[in-house]
Amino acid sequence: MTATMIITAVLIILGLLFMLASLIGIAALPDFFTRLHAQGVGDTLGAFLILAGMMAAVHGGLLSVKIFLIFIIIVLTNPIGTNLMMIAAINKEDYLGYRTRMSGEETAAEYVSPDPEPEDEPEKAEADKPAEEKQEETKADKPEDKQDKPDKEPEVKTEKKQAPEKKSEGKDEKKQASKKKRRRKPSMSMNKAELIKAAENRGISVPEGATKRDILDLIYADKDK
Amino acid sequence: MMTNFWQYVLAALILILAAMVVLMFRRKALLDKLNYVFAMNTVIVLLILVVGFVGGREDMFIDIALSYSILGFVTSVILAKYIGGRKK
Repeated sequence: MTATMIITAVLIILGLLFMLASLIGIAALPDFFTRLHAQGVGDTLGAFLILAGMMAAVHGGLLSVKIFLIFIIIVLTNPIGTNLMMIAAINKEDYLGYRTRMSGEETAAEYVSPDPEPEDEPEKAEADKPAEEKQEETKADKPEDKQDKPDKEPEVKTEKKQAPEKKSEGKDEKKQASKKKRRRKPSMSMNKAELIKAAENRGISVPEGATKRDILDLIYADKDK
Repeated sequence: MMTNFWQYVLAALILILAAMVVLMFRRKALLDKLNYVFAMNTVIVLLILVVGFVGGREDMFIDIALSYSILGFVTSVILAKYIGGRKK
């Protein structure tokens, strides 16, 4: 019974306990995102402790370095994989019940195939109102200027803006930014020109003098069908 | 003495893995199953390492575990991308 054996045994037993805790977490926690949390955190720490015990067991040297490499791979990839799974869950049509839960309605027990609920979105837009006001306070006056002008001019401007972004596809950051812009859901936090454009992308003709509220109602009424 | 200890660790890891497989098939949602698969990947890497320690051939099994961890990560990422799809 040498010192390295004791260190190895203690570390590996601790690691196994953490793995067991993560297993219980995945099995017993009530919600998908909490289960994801249990898996991402518990597994990483458990694997770290077990691999540290193994590094002690091989008495250093090249093998220890290789085990350390495995440890680095696990520590890098486990949170990334958890994050990607979370993004995949959120990008699903129904948010996996996330939105219904936030609005206080009864959640479906299984997330297999619940119906999308467009009724929530106007409420969400209403909730966004104060945030939008804050943004307008903090930001420069640019969005307000766009609102004041007649509708045609901002459209042309946005088209001109997006055209050079598409051309400069070499830079990944700009590409991602434009993707995000395209993916944003229409809500009250967008300015009027963007909302009109979003409506036209869905094949809705916007009457003149419509407020942001009206455009949003049109968009989501069309979604119901 | 130490071989005995590694055998117990191997048994514990196999029990955890078996529990994960059973629980995975009891879930109905696809992403929950994916979550289990991703957790199983970590456990299998550790399992391969412990098998090496039991047999006294850790130098060989460490390389296998190294490649398996990378492969498992790639699998999980591509599955997550495939299931999650694109946002409209």
